[in-house]
Amino acid sequence: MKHVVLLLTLLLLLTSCATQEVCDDDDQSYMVARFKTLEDGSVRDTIMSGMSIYGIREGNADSLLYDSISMSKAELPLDPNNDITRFVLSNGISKDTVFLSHSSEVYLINYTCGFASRFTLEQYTSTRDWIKDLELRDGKIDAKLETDEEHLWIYF
Amino acid sequence: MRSISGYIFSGLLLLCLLPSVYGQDTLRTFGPRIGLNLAPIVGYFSDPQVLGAEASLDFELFPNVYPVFELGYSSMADSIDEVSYHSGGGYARLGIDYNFLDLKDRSQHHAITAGFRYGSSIFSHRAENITVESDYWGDYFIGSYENTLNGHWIELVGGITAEVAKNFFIGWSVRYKILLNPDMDPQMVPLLIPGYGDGSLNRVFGFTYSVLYKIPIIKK
Repeated sequence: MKHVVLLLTLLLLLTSCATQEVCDDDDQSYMVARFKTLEDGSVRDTIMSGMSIYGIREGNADSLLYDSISMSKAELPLDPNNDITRFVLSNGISKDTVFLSHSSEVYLINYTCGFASRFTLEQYTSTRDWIKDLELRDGKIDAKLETDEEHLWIYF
Repeated sequence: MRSISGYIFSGLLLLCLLPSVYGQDTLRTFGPRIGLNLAPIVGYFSDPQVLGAEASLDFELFPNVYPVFELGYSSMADSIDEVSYHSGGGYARLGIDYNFLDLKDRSQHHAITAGFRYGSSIFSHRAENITVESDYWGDYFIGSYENTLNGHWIELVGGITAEVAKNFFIGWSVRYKILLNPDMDPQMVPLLIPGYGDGSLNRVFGFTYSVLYKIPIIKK
């Protein structure tokens, strides 16, 4: 009888344990753009200095995501309100706009953290002031996926 | 021994004051047993967001072997931040219990059982006032999302049943449930799978507290 009561108590304790959900930036889906150069036919990582990036937001003032820093990759939030997201990349001398066409799907992170968007990149292009080329590496932009987290290569 | 076992079972269920009616004869009665699970009713007072009802039907088809059919409905409504959530639908479970209790007196019908269930639920869930927060682009108001789903799970069941009056039983069971299709809705995990529980958990425990009546069709 003692054992039965003990077992029941243990079961009740087990079921009453609840995991505490923690909401952080990892729940958001960012497009990761890696900067590359093409030299003598070989692709190399590159660090771009003085890089500033902002998104073009209709009806809102420009707001820098990155402000004149040296960087080899950028994590960029896509616009969940529209099917096209535009980012301007500038180093103070040259400036290009990257156009990204995407679909999006809303999903529930969990009931503590609420909903978020995940994206599928469909089309991409850019102006060619200093960007030489774009290469799609992975069209699925989803914080829940375990990938190499490089979605787009931007060649300078 | 008979009265001790009866006391233990009844005591477990806090109904030990009910009179014993055994010993009238040593014939064993058989028949379909209909049960009502009181756990959803008890649970309603502690968690009024969840409402449900469940009935069961079993029969001692072979000695100590009880095929079981359970049928129920449950629903929940909750508000999480600004999002209103609702889930509800029916479910059914089919399985077998085996009685391990070796009773000397054939007129007794107490049981310590172990068994399994296969459960399935068809239900819909809906969320309203969904907003996706975006610090940079501005919050994106989605509106509502709804989906009709079919959940499947299996249960390992252990329980005790005591006959507290002639053909009347009370019993409880502990259940370990394993969800077979946790990715039934990749967009929104159901907060309630009727008959199973929290759809965000692949393994859950469940409890039933039942009152049952056996229709004594056969006596032998």
